[in-house]
Amino acid sequence: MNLYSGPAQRHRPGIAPAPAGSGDQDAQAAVTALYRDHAVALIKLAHVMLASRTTAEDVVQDAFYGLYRHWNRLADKDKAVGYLRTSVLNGCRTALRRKISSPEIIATREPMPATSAEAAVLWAAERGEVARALRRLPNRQREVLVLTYYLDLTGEQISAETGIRATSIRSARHRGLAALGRVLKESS
Amino acid sequence: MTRTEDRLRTIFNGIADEIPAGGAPPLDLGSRGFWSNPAAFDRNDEWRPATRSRRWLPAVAASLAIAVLTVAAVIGANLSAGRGPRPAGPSSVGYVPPYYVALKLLTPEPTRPGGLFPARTEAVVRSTATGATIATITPPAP
Repeated sequence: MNLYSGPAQRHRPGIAPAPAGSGDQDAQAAVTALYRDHAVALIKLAHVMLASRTTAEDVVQDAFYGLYRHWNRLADKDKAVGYLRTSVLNGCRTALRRKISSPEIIATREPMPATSAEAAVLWAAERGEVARALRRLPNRQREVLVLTYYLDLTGEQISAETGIRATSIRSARHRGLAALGRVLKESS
Repeated sequence: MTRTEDRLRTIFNGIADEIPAGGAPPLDLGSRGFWSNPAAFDRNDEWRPATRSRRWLPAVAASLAIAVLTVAAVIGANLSAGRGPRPAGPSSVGYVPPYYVALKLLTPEPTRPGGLFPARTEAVVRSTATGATIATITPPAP
């Protein structure tokens, strides 16, 4: 799965007036285009990390605002997407630290993709269980698991994205899986 | 692939699918962002500009700081005014010396007042706590 393979977003108006200056207008146009192409994929990533859609949208919004503020200082504009993904991961870490999205939100507020009522109940239980277990993991293990099993990134790709050594990533994945397996076995 | 890995993939994809394809809210580049001011989000999780509500914050903070400093200064002045000058040297109130000296009579009977030879005594240094004799000082014979 490609992180940025989500369907192109319909451009929505509602952008705040740009600050004066052509550089700021360029930044606004560029960031808006990036948002149109990558926002949904990043919201999905944050949603998987946080299990809270509202908080995920806030984190992504903040990441794009940060990119907009630092656009003129960004040496390589082609790396903007990587910058955004790192910002989103950092934002998720902050959100989890502040415990803004509570376990109750995990279990109850999100719409269920299942069709029948029974399936919806089962899905809610499974989802909440995994999300709570994931939340108990250290940041690195959680991020490596999400990047591996949601984005299908290899250890080398995660290493390139995050700057963490590949051996550390393998270790984090192994430990995270073991801890998650234990927690899920205890709770089931 | 283990069962946990399968379960993770299924759950992650299911959670991600909860975001619809057109599910991104409008981009707002005119505000400072969520994390700089989470309180600006109301209970419905809708963003509202909070710049106006934060304008008075520095003034209130400065006023509070001045009030706290004033109260602290007044209390400190009152406390120091009520206290007299401190006595020089350590206070002896409540102080028990560790040793004491007692005079021990050596002659069987005290000589009568005005006699030629006064009674012979020795000084005994004892511990206040235990009463044990620590030293005995015998004056030379006259």
